[in-house]
Amino acid sequence: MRIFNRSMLFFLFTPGLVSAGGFQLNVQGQKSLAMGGAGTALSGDASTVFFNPAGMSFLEKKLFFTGGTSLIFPYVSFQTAAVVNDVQTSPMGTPLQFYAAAKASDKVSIGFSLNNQFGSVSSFDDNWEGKFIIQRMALKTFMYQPTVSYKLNDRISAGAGFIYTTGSFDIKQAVPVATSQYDNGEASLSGKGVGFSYNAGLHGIILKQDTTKCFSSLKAGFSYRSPIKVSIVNGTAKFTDISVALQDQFPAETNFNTQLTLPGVYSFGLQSNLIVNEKINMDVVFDFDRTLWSSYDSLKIDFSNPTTPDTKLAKNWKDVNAFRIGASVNYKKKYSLRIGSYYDQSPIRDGYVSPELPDKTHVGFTAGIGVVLTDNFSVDIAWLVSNFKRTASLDDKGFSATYHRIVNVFGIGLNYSIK
Amino acid sequence: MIKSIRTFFFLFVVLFFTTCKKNFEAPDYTSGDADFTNYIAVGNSLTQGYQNGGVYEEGQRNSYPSIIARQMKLVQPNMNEFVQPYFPGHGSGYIHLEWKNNTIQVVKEEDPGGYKEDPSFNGLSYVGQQLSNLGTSGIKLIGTCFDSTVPGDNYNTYLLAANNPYFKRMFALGQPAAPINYLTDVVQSKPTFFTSWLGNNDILGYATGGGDVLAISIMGTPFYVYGLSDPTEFRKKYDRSLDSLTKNGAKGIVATIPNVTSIPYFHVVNLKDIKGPDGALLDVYIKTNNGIRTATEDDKILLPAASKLNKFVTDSLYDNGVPVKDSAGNVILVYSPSPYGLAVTNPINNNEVLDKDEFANVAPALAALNAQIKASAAAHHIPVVDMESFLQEFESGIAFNGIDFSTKYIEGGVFSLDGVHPNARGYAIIANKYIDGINAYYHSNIPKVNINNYKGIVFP
Repeated sequence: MRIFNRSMLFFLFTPGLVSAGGFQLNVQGQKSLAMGGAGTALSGDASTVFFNPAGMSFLEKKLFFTGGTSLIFPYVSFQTAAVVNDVQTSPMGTPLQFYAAAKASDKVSIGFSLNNQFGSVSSFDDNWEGKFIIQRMALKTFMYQPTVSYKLNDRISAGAGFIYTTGSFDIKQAVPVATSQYDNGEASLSGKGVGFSYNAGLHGIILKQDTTKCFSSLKAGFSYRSPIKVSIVNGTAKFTDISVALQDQFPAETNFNTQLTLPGVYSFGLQSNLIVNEKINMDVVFDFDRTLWSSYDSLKIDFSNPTTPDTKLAKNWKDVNAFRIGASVNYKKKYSLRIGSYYDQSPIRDGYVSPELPDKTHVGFTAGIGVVLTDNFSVDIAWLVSNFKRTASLDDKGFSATYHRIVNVFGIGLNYSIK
Repeated sequence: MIKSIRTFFFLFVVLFFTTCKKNFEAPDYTSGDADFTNYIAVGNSLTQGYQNGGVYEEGQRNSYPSIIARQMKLVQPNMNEFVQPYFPGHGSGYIHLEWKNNTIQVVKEEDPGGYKEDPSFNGLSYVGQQLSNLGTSGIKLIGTCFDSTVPGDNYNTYLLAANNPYFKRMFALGQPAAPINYLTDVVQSKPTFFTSWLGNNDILGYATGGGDVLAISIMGTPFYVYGLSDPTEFRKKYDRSLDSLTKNGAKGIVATIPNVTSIPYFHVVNLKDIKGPDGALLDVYIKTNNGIRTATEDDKILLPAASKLNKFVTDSLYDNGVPVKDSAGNVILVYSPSPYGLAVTNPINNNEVLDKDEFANVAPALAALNAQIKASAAAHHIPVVDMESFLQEFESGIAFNGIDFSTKYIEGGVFSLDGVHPNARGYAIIANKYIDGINAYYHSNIPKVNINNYKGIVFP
């Protein structure tokens, strides 16, 4: 007896960076993070391997290592017509970054990047109001990126990297089938996949004057990261607490396939350096990012068990822009005080807002400090906060809520370099 | 510089803690322009909490009025207790699902292993309890009071009440010559607020009875138990029901009659599923008021016929209790020479099919009665919950809280196993619909319920 139609089960597999809206919040470099996330023209440390590979050519070091982590503290509370207040039980996120850049010759720099560009853990109480939409979702990605940059002349360089991505996720959702023993069944899916992509960038010095002038330099960067198709093949799906009558459709274990396209990103950035006096100078950075989220139009899950209803969920996300601005006040080339802000458009249209990622177009604020400890060693600390409310619905699932989402990110980065 | 870093860190920490955790606060609850002190629910089986073909305590605890009352209590904590007449044990008996022979089986009350009516059920009599939920299965709007211009009408209402196991448990009957009718009980309950969902049986009984008009002759006057109610009489008595409810200044809300023919009861049997052992489509024979004929897609074969149809195999051939096998080792089956519904000599009974002529009577009657409900409510300044259009949304599929619902039997998730009445989750959805209507009209803010806290179909 085939009881359920194909729309009975939807699994949400939303590739959400937990720290903030869509995917556009960069936590991949602590200097950049402290300056509104702008890093395309920054080339301040080895994180430029990620932000703009061409920037490696303008790192004035033979060898540069940058590593760090960002501790992401999300707090998402929400109110529905039935429940006054509920909260996500999502834990802290800890994406890591490691970057290395080295001069192979006068013209050629090589680098390597390892980071978690996408990652999210959203969890809820098992019996929360939207348990049939989502109970828990965890997505982890690792991006391995060997990179090369070529200095065309004193003013311009070009770089590119090859990116190998591994992704893993698991997701848990209640199945709306009750028995006298269980209020609902449960579905747990987990799978792994890989993807291949590239990034490429240009970095140029538009203006360079000697340091006695107030306006000492202006740099520009352009970079592109291609979309990443991650195919999850032969993931494991487990169904538990299912009625004996429905185990044909929801077997104890089956396999599934799905595919997810992480979006391509264009970034354009500017950096200028201003000399205030002998002791104090200032960097001002600006970035414009365009993220091609329209690639995320739907999510399909195909189960290998023929009687398990396959699912397709419309996402219908849109391409979005972000504007980032930041400044760093540097004292005696030893201490830096950074501040920034960003405007981040949400790719999620009204009617498609899901409780695990209640995103909104918003403005966030950042700050941080940097201290040069020795000739080789420096530390960066960054902080980001975003705070917004959105009342929106997920029409396909008949769920709507007012969300209040507060995200704090604390980042620490260490740099080791050799002249 | 060090000082500014310190200052900066100070700001940092302050900002962190001020933006750390923010939870939503409950709104200031208000009953608005309404007073829920004595909330009374009026209606038929849908109001009583009837589901899975019966009335029993678990179902009653999930009746939409009891759900609404629990929510009202949040905005008006001093309201009276909401009293329902619980039927103990299996109550009237009800349908459940079992897993037998590797299939899902719908086990009715009368089937082996069925949940039969509780021994106390028929012996229950009126205990003088003043009820808040006056929902009474089987009651028609035109049976809630009698019309002195209709001969024998008062005796009819008495007879119907006395033969209704719910009514006689819930209300005093009065005397045959001077019956206490339903609206008298309504007035006695002295509501400050009411919900009324009367009128369903004025259509539903006709449709679920296969349009088979059962007439009882009382004092020489035919009384149509399953007839479609006359709109003029319906309006007169509907007005009277609202006069009774609003007599002491009570406010309330009423609901229209949903299109009963969209419920699973009329759609479980599909002619394209009736196939012989070779897979070929078979003719299905129905008995109509115009004689026996083959069924078409326009005839609605009713749910009770489903379990009897397509039964070629009556049994295995047994020899001293052991199934006889042929030379290939297959059990020899005995085929019925005249299977139900599949032979012109054994057609589907008149009361198990709403044939196309009878079906055609339903829509105009529904439109007429709903027009009267809306007009009567407007005249009494009472808001209307449009259940007719709400049920239509389920026909094309609608989602709440992550569950897809439709009007399909069992898998649709909103109707109980009787194919007519909602399950507990369906009643929770209806309660939310009422709450929306009450809040919108009376400026109250009764919170809705999380429908996922109520069970849908309970699988074996």
